[in-house]
Amino acid sequence: MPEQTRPRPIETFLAQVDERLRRLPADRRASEREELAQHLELLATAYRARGLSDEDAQRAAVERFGRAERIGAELHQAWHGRKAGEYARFFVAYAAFIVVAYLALFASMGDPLPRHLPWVIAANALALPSAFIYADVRKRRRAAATD
Amino acid sequence: MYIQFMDTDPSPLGRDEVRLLVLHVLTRGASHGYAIARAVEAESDAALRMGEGTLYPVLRTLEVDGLLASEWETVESGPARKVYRITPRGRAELQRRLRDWRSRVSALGRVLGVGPRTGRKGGLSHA
Repeated sequence: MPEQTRPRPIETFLAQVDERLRRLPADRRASEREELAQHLELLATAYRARGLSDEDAQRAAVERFGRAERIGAELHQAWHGRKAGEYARFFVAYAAFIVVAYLALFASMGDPLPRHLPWVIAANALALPSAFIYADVRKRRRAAATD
Repeated sequence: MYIQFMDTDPSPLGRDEVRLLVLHVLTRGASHGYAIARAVEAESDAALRMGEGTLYPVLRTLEVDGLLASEWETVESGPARKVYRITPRGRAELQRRLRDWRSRVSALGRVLGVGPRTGRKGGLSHA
């Protein structure tokens, strides 16, 4: 491959990281890429000042980062993990609300609790949050795909 | 910017060590990823190497956990930089981690018979 058309090591590295971040929102993904790019360019500048050629300086900078796929996966996991935590808190809060609401309703009516009430509560506590989370995940994936 | 090269690089620090050092460096003021890594290397006379591959996932986790805050800062010359600041929760977490760290070092010292008894305070004396 001619030297002019060969991808620069830093660009190749960033593209590999970016591939792992494809499900993040576009602005967050761009922010991650820009931050890593700046750090890599600063490292490469330091290596060039030490006498390395541009290509070798870029390779040395990339080597300090390690495997692009691993970094991309860990960055994605850091954001994804938070989203999973938010979903879990939402699930718990909504389930607690449903339980309290049903118990208050039956208490106000003065009726005995029906035997099938736990199933009704479980169905109500699961259905709406599941639908909401499914819609949110689809929305985020569409946003990432349109990047 | 300071960068020190050694003929044989020391082993990169582990994730927990990087978390502790990042929080510590940021107690002195806001900084960006490259400067944090170089500060640790410079202050340890290149004995410690903060692997960049570990640094960014750690920064992101600390940020997501609310221990750091970040923003893109524009500077007069050059591109905008993402700058990190330690939050009050981050300072509390640093204190907790320092207590744990001291406790472990002390326990290891007792086992090895080399416990620190000089009373000398090092760079982490802000705790």
